[in-house]
Amino acid sequence: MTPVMRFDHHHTRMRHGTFLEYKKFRYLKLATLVSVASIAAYVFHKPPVTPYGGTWLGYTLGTIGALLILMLLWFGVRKRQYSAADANLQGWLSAHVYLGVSLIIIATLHTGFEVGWNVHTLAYVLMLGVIFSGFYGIYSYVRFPSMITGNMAEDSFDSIMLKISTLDSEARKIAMRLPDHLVLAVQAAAQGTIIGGGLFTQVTGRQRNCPTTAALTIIQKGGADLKGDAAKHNHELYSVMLQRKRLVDRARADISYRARMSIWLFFHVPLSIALLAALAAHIVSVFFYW
Amino acid sequence: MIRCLLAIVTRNKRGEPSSEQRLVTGTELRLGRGAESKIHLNDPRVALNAAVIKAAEDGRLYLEALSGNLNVDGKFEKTTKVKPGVRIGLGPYEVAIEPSKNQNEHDFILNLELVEPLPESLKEEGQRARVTLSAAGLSKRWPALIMFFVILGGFLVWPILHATQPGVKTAAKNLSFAPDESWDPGKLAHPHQGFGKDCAKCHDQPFVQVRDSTCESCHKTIGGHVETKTVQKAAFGEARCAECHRDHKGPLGLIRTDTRLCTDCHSNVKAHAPSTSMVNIRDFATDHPHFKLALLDQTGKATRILQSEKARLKEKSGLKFPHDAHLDKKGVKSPTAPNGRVVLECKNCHTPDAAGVRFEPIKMDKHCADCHRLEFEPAVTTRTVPHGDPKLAMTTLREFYASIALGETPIDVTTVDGLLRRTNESKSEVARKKAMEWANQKADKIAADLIEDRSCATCHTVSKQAGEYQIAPVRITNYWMVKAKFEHFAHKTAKCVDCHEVEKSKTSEDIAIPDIDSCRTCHAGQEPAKNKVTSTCESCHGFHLGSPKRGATAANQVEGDPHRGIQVAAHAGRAAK
Repeated sequence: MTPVMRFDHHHTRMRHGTFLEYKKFRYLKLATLVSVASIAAYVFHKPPVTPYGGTWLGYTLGTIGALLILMLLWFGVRKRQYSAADANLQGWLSAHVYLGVSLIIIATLHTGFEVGWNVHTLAYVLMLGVIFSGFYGIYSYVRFPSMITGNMAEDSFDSIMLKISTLDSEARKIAMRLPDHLVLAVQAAAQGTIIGGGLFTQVTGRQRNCPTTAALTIIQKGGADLKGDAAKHNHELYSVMLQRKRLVDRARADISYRARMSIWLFFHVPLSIALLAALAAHIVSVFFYW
Repeated sequence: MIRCLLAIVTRNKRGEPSSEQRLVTGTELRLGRGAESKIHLNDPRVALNAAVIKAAEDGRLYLEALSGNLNVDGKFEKTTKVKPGVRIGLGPYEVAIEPSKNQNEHDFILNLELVEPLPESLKEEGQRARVTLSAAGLSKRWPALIMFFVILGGFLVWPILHATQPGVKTAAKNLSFAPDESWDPGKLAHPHQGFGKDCAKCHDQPFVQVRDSTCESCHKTIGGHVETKTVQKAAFGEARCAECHRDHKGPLGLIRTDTRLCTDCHSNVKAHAPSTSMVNIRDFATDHPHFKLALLDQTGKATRILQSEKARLKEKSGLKFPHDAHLDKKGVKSPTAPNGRVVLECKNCHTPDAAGVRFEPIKMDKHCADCHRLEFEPAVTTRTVPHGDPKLAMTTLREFYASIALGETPIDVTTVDGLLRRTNESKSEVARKKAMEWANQKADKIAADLIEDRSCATCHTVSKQAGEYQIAPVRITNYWMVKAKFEHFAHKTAKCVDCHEVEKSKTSEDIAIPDIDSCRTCHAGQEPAKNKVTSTCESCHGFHLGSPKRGATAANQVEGDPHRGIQVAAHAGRAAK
């Protein structure tokens, strides 16, 4: 046997770009093809009565749509299987996104634009909910990672927190030589500044009446009356607290970006599980009362 | 080249220092968290490139902050001279410069001490609250599980149990909605709405398509499409009712009215029924053949003749009726009209039937008798012979003249003249015989005048066989297009003469049924055309045998039924005997 030299293209090719550009838009092309074919079939199809899910084209589009939904749901399982030998999550995500979008066209044509207050339209609406929350997901995956990196630079969230803690002890030392109300402000900033918190606070990245901001104002105002060494210390304290404020802002921005990057999943995932149930009810009911 | 003796200071529990020393050299000495730093500060709070020691143009060494500030003896600075005795705070580290102890080996000693060690546990930092959405109380799992089971239970399990378990059905009886209503894909057709909430009325077997037998349990009389059963089966196979009749398509959605219902087969009809004599039809506007008119022969049998076969297109109704004379603009003679003439219109004789589809049959007594009076004795204007049977007419004549000859004035005869006087003579046997002879001769003479010349022969063909008068049977066609439906009420906006040219017709053989070209002046095919009515097959034809739109078939051309059959004048049958 002659050993055959093989190039593993998978590894030799530079993998750059995002999941949207994966393999020169392979799945965009596939999704476009499927969508255009569906539209063409719909246009040329002459159903006996009205176009709907029960014509041969309706059944065909419905089958394709249902299989696509199952495949897209499988992505949720797939991305948790780290051990999968041929794990190629970028490819899966690319397919997930583009085929998911094409599902709008396939499923809408499947309905024949018939809607009503029934389980069939429920499945359709849930599917649209999943897809449109996914649109936000695409946006967030394109937008936030670079913002997170830019915000964090060479720091990590933990290092920022440690820096804040170091600044706190420094500030405390400096404040010891300053009037009481400044010591209190520094203490309040150290103890009362909340990074993270509830849903709203995380998403907006703001704390109402933030003690660190308040301390800065107090130090600035309090410094006006001070003279000599005290004024110098006050100035130093202001510098420390300004650094603290900047770190707090960055930490909050980090949380906010991450929250905004993941919040859609709290809709996308439960809606897709609900869709699975509605899809099952839709398919079984249609054939139960055929 | 900068040569520095780096002394890393650590302290034991009692706070006594000890140091680990090594020589660090380079054109510049970098301090930072990064591994490439000559002086590595292994602490997360330190910047990657925190500071650098380098020689300035004056040859002196400076420490310059690359990130943040230096805390030089309690003051924040960007740069500071590297000179013995200076203490510099760099994040959690303290840098102290000492003079060299061996100038040959190094330029200065740099004491590095971690003065602010890392807290034991990061969790002790109270300000680090909830930094993930999950920690903020958001869950993917719970909403997913709740929605999954609510939807599966409410829209799948419950309806199935309702359909299969009588107990569940009984329990749900008093609800204002049925559990399987959520499965209803759309509004039912009007006739089905009355029982529509009970899905099982039609969907009587799970996972089985609605069966024809279920439809036929109510629709008992509806027929197939083709009379011949073998052709029906060959053309339609086992096609189910529901293949065409899709319900849940709205109140009027149950019946197909599209052209393809017909043209799927009729555009190439021989492929589906090889023995047929029908031609291919795709559209009324383009390739519909000429209409066939059902013409009756003397026995009442209908033969359908193409309107293009003009030579054969003569109605043999047995009646003499010139439309032109009756529609004379100056009017026709009328004994009842004040000025002796009456102008007739179509509607005087052609009265729409109750359905407004066709017309009531023409009747002598109703439509003709006002003018065409059957008086026989000029002296007695109130007496007429009965219409319909020449034998009865003869009997009337004989009775009338016999009674007069015998001196018995009929009670309705009040006129007194020579006729009456003559009968008042004798009643002897001879005289009676003579009177009878006279009466018969008189009756025959009057009959010859009345039947052969003056009255009957005006409209009828009269012959005499074995001394008895025979009137040719009258069969007026009332139903010309038996395979189509034509509703006159739908054409009310048109005048009669728009379609029926009868004003110049001199004989009843003329047929005034409009041909396809006449219809096409107003009717387009399935494609809309300007100022025309879009017309599909279904506009004129029905699919099912037995449907009112389908028209008559040879089998159901019922005599006397003006809507279905062919009008046969009431007396014709008897006269023919």
